[in-house]
Amino acid sequence: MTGELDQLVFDWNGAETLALPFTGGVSFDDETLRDGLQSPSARHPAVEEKLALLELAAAVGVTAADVGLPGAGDAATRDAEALCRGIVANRLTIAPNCAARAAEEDIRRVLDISQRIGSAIEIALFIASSPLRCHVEGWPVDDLARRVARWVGFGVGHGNPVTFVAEDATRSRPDDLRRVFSAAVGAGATRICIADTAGQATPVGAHRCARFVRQTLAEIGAPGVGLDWHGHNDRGLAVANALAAAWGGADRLHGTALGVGERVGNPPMEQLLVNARLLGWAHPDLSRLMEYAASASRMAGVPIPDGAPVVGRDAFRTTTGVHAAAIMKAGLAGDEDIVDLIYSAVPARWLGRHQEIEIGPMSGSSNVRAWLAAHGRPEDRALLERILAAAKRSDHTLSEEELQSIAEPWGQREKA
Amino acid sequence: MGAPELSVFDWGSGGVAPVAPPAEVSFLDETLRDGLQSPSVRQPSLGEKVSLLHLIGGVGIATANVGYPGSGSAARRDAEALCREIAAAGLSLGAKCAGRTCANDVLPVVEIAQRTGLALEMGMFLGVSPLRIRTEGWEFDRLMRLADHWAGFATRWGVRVLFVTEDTTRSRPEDIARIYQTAVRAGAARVCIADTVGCATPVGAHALVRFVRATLDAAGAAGVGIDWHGHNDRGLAVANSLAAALAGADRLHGTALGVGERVGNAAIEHLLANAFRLGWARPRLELVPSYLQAACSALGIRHGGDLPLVLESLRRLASSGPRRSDLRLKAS
Repeated sequence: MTGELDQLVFDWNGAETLALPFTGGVSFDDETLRDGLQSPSARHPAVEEKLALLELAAAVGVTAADVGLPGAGDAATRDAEALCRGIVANRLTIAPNCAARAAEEDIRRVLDISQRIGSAIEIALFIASSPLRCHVEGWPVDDLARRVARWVGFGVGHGNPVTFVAEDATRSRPDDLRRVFSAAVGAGATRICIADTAGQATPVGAHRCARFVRQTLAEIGAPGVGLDWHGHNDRGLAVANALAAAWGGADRLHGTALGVGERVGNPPMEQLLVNARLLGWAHPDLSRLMEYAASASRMAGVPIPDGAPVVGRDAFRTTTGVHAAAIMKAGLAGDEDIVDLIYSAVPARWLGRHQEIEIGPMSGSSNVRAWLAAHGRPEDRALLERILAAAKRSDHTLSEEELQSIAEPWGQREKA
Repeated sequence: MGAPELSVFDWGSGGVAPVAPPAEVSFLDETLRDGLQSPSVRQPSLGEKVSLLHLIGGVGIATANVGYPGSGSAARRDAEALCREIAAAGLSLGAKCAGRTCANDVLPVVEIAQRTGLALEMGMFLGVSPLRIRTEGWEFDRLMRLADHWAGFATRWGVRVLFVTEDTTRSRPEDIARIYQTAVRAGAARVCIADTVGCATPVGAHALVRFVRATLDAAGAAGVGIDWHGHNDRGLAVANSLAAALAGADRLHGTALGVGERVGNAAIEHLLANAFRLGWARPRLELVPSYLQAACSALGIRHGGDLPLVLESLRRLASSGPRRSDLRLKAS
């Protein structure tokens, strides 16, 4: 069937064009528990809830997670430590990392956790590198490289891997980035993270920036240093930017469940995972993705919008007559693959979901036929017309109860 | 604050290649058609549609889809009333109706154009992907005849035809070229590339639009504009629209808050904000919040509570203004 489907679908995206410039595929870092909980709408969950989310993140193929910013205080430190212990105790296939600012107190807290649990923890050390931030903070730009080297060296010297996060990198000049990245790598950083802190990148810019950093790393003799992309969604471009960054050489993408995060948030992890799988950049098992989204929604107290791509209620739901007719025809021909493809970019079955046909004012007779078939009812023409007329009169999609109450007299008549 | 502003490096246009569309970009609002196909919305009253129409015109959107008259008598009545409102209120807004290539859908649009005397556009759609053709049991030659017949018919009756190929993003290049050439020969004034299932990536959108532009140019139809109509199933609708514009699509479709079929369309507020920020267009962003609030209440959109955040981010974008480098690049 796959060969035949290839014949039926022309791929304008071009799988070969979109090949990654590195081997081994792309991986993901879950920022829900740090950036996600910075959302003004999020509530602050108990550590058990956080651990439950990490378990689901691991189940859907996420291999790294930010467990918090211990430098924020004792509560944050306790939670981060409990999560690190929980990951080990539950043998989760997800590696924890902790955020830290360029200050001894912040880094020290991560080192202490690492000491107590007896294993190294990745330190995501963030320092603003744009001239704009330096100006606002009153830091001399020339001093930046020295500060970066000092604090990266401090973490590395205590035996912990350090990811140097260049805050506001997408508004930083290439020569400034080259200087600070060289300093970070020279001091032992094993990864570099480009942060689009203000969410101002476009895909073109994200791609260019990632490619530039990748080239710079090669030029300074550090081709093995990993490259992260951390984006925000202020322009509605977060997912596209992350993909463009990977295409430019970023091998680990940050996201948060449902995209919750600072301001309007980060790239939704569920969308990153689905896109990566569609592009063949990763092969996550998405069968628990709905659980992951639901868990995050409960944990952060943020509802899942009906219109959220992939995990929203409406992702595979139609009331439109033209669409229903095509889906029904594919179903009648026994083409289950085509049922899941004809009006869908994402195979619903990856998520344990299916294409749903409902009945509303935009519906045609196919929608009603689908409903009758799903309820094991014969195709009674009068009933079909009655339901369709009610749908056309209605100002909303008919609920199951409404449909039952229209169809009920018919059922009784049949029995009589 | 002049100094730090100047020192912001813009990776989106940073000196290498100009990142500006080859043609001026305008917008088409699909809230009152594709938006109403969302399974979660309430159908607004005519009065609510009229109010929304005024707000759409107010923010600087050039064209509004006023409905799908072939879908029933209520839709027909509303579409006609909205056309009359545009004329009566003197709105600087083009009206577009949607429909398939069949008598049931084309005739009501022609009738509305005749009765109102408004220069009406019809987005005439036809599925051309091999997947759709196989499922429906169609033959391509028949689609060619339908395109030729109905694009010609509507044009002769004074309706401007926007020829929409459904599922274009999964269609074969040779099929797309043939059907557009046929529709344009029959009189279609514009073509619309529809990413009906939202499967495109920005790279795919760019490649497809570039192909269509080259095909039209080669066929002597350089004056035929290209619309991009995208869906958000992969979360890429806004980025795809911008990529399409960079490749030559000169009109982008969107809906308020991205409401539409399944998970919806490109969010028009994001299209407007990005176009503003990139220096591609000068919409009145300060009026967008009242437009979005009206759309929410007219369609009963449940927006997960983050509407205030969206509005706040729009305000930030509006106040930051277009990047000087983008403007300079566009001028060059």
